[in-house]
Amino acid sequence: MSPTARNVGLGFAGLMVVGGLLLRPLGSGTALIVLGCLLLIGLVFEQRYRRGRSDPRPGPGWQRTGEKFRDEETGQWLEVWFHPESGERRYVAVGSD
Amino acid sequence: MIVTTTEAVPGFRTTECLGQVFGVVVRSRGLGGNVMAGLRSIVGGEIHEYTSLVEDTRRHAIDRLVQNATAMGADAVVMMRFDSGEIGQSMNEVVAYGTAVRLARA
Repeated sequence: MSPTARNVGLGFAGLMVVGGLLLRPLGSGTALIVLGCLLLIGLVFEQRYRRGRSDPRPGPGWQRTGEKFRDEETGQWLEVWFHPESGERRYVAVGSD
Repeated sequence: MIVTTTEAVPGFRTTECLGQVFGVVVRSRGLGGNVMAGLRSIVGGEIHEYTSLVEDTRRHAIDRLVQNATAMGADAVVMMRFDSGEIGQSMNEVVAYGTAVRLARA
């Protein structure tokens, strides 16, 4: 998610909570507060695979696989490295060496 | 580790077939991402939140496939394929599968 979309979502969730709090004196708004809080939690604690999307350049024992692609979210070109003993793969930004 | 969608790896000959190998992942974008994707779908266009979800799942599945193939002692995974589906409307399932083999230079 782009930072702009994330900020829009956070603002939207904040408005839901504030709107719910404003409606409390009228005897309603609880559902709005709960939904707003759930949305805030969802946006703040969202789990992504390899947050940051780009790993540090690997050390000795790692091999370049030749696999290369563009990360659509960050616009970065990434290349894949492989560790033959552990079988781990890393996504390293092109030109980070 | 060579991962290829072809049956043979050019320059190598297959010396041993170790069997099928899988990498299975189910991921969800979470409530925040789903709500933002829902809002974005009002105006149409690419839903970046779900593009990222599928990309994350693809990487996760192939990382698992390669790790499993390494544990089997394979040099390569041939005939690799992706398959995908959805679970509960907001969860994306991807399986990467292929055949783990040992190779020698031709």
